[in-house]
Amino acid sequence: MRAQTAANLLRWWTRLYTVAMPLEQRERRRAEVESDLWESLRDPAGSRQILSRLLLGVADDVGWSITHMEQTSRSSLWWSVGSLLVFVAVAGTLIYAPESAVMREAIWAWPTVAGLHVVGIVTLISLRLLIDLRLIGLRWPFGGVPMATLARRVTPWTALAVLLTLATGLALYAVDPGDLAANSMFQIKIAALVLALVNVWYCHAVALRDAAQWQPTPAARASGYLSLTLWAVLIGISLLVPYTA
Amino acid sequence: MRRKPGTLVPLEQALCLAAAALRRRGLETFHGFSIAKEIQDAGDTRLLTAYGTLYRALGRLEQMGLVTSVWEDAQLAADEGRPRRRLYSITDAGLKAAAETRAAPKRPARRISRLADA
Repeated sequence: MRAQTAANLLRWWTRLYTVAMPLEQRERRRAEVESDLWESLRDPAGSRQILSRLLLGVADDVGWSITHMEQTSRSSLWWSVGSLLVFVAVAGTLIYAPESAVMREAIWAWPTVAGLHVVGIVTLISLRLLIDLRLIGLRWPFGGVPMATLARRVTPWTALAVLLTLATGLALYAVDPGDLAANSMFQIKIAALVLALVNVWYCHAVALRDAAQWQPTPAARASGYLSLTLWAVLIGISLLVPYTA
Repeated sequence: MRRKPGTLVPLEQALCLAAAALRRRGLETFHGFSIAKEIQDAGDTRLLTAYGTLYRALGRLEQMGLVTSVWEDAQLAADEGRPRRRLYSITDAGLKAAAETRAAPKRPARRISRLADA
């Protein structure tokens, strides 16, 4: 590989792994690599080794990047990875879930799981309501609590409620996966749920990324209105599913 | 590499030894590429230290107080038509660490032993 091509690759890689750094650290690292690169290109041995120096240092670059990443960027990363894993797990279960003998035959199973599902939904929607109302610009309820504090307190319980709702929802789905998968209302419900959860991801990973200096931007307002609409649609459609089976 | 408290990993030792060797030759400051060349020239390794590994190690040494760094004057770099260099210099604590590495009976790597003899 030509030295200039390797140099461009190094520049591209440096821009990539420093993108989530605080501004000052990002600029310092990029300037330091650029300076080293300038020296390397003027040294016969150095210019031959740009690619190998890049590749052998990738693990350290990534380690350094994670260590010094801004708290908000790290939070966004975990939200993104966590959301992706949940989507993959749920999609896999919906596609491949066999009928559950326990859910169909045990007398306690359906009422227990359905009850927990309702608890999960009510908790999830109540907590989302707190954030969504703030997103659309209303300072009610808990108007005196800053957005950063509100988001920090609500987020862990929201995540738990999402997991409870999804786990119990998948268990209920296993009662009769074939019929439910073919039910048009159920399909709309799943589509609305996917949109709502993508919106939750957007809210936490992007809109609230800098919650300490948060302002109700047009994108954040849109996210709030969309969230309120989608959860309302979800409740309505969920009530219709049994009548269209 | 897991480090014992208060010790330096081999690359950090090599950097201290190389910086001390440059200081003995009258070079008070060094930049990333020059220290990588110094380690390569003094040792038996054919490769320059990788970018990520080098600058991460220099950052650790600075946090430990073994080296300090300043950015050179932007005008000076502009006059020479090159990017600004980050100039490192070894501190007294860094020189002490280099001396301890030289005096240590067991040296972890050949490239370090060569630097110690330089």
